[in-house]
Amino acid sequence: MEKITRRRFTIQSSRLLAFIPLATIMGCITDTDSKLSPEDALKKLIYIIGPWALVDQLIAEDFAKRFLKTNHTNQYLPNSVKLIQSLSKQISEETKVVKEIDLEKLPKEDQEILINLSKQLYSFVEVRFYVSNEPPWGQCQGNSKWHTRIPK
Amino acid sequence: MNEEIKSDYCIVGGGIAGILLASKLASSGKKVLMVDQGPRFSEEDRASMLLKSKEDLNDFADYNDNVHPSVVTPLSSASPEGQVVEWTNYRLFGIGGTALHFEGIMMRPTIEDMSVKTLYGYGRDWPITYSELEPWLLKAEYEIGVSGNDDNPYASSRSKSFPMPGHVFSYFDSEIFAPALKKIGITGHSCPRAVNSIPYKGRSGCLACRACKFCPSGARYSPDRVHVPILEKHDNVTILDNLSVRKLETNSKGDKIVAAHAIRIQDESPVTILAQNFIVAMGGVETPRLLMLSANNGAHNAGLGNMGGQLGLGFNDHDNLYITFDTGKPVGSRLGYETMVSDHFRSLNNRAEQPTFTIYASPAMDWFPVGNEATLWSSEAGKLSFENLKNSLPNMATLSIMTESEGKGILELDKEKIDAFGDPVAKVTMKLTDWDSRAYTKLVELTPQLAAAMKVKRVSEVSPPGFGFGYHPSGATAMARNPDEGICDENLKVFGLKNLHLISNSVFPHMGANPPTLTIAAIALRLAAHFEGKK
Repeated sequence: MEKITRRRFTIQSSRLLAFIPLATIMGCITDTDSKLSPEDALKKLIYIIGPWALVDQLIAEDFAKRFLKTNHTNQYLPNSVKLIQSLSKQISEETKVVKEIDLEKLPKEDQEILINLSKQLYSFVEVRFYVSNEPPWGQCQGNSKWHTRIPK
Repeated sequence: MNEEIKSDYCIVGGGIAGILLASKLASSGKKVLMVDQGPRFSEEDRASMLLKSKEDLNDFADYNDNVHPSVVTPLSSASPEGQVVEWTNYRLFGIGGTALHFEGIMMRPTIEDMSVKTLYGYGRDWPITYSELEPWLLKAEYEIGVSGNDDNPYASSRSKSFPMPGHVFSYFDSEIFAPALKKIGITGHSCPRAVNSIPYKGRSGCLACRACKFCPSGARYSPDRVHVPILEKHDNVTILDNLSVRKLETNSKGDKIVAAHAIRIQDESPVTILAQNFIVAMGGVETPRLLMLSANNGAHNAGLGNMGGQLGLGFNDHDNLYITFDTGKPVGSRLGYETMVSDHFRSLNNRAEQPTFTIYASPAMDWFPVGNEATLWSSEAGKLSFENLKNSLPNMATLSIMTESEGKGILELDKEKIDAFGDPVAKVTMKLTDWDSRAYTKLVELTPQLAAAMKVKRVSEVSPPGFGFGYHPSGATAMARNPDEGICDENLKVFGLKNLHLISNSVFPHMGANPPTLTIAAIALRLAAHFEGKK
């Protein structure tokens, strides 16, 4: 029973990482950080650097789940746990969302992986559309003048 | 057992050229057979591809992703001496061909595009003039449904307006791009599109789904959706998909094709097609390859129609160059495509010195993977700011140019690489000449002027010159006045063969900076009229 509860807690924590103060979460699970699977660590990274708002947790989860099934993950999975650990050292107690990462405090290799993951993530049309509040790709707008709107 | 099929016309290749030709021949009452190596895609296939692209996070999902492995014939690309110019390909196999996923840009050639050798000393002249082609360009625009306005000051003359108005300019076009172009003396104008701006011939106007490759609304023309259903109503027309024609056989005299030998993709069973007329409509790569694979021991020992040694020469494509901007302000949305372009550099250009090019720009969000630039531009002073990254994305725009090229590529059979049926694949050696590269130089010069006029915050470097995705392979079986200049005559009949015609962009002696689809459609309609004695 205890094992099941702990497992649930770990999974739940990894899912929520991007939506509650990172340092607090890291504090909660410091002992288990090194025990995260590479997949869970990569999910955490996607939550951390992705654009999702707190209320869009399910969207982020769904995206991360699909991302892990793609062949894009090969370059990130072997280093995801280490990168999460490196990042946990620089997020302050007050941080509510991750707005900025100090690259110079990361080992060179981790910097490169983080940059590549960001390039990759923000190159997906789905992520770009999320950022700009566009309806999903392929969803008809029924409005041939939709592109003439004055952007906010 | 070898199956035998008889027909009056055998059209090899079910792309836009073959389908349009068949649609006109169908009403003649004669038997028309059209075959294609790829499958027929259903509406359900389109819907599943769209859904699967989301599930797999595959922004580049395409029609040939999950077809039978033998359907897509590979090719190889070689580097000319001293150059690394990779030529890949973006063609599709299947009923509808590459027009299944094309962007629908339907620009016309200019008068000058068709006489570059005489006027400027490079490339090859067409054996027909713009004025001879113009009525067929117009017919093609009405047949397909092209939206556009008569607002292009750089265009060659047209005898009638477009069948429907152009798409309304986007916010970006009206407020950012056009004013910037104007500041540097360039006029932006509507981009002719095979995308309905209003309902046309029973098809919807564009509904801004922004997934044009699969076009959920059906507003973008796709030959399998528009003309194949017409063909299917005719009892004298047969369409066979998943049938690969491997070789054309001549009679002993070598002046006529007597049979096309084919293989069914699914079970590799042989099929022999006997017809009065054969038309090869297999696109810019497979058309010349089939003529090469059909070489015999007689007059056509170097490939069909290759008496003058021209088969495979003059292979051409467009080079596409890109720049990304962070404009520093929101740029708005797209319908899925650009609504404004400029032909300024197709017209007011010293062609003896540099290639012509078409210029486009639009918000990047729905089409260009700007994550690379957005990340790099948000990682300054040793920090990666996701706040900046997210804020900058809606401000990103891209500008691209499609450039004319001299056409010094060569297409030949690869001596080492074979396809699923044991035949050599096409090997393309693309050469980027000094003249070709001057379009890149021009864009490098132009970029700071445009950036200043648009008051942008950041601008990327121009992407390096090359032949990118190989969108528009052309020229390897050129039409010409005699066999020393090309492979087929002005009526697209292959030299030395009474009943073999070609119809694809492979017959273009030269290609301007316009995408080739409208011209392909025009010459397909012209060929149909030739067969019917109406030209």
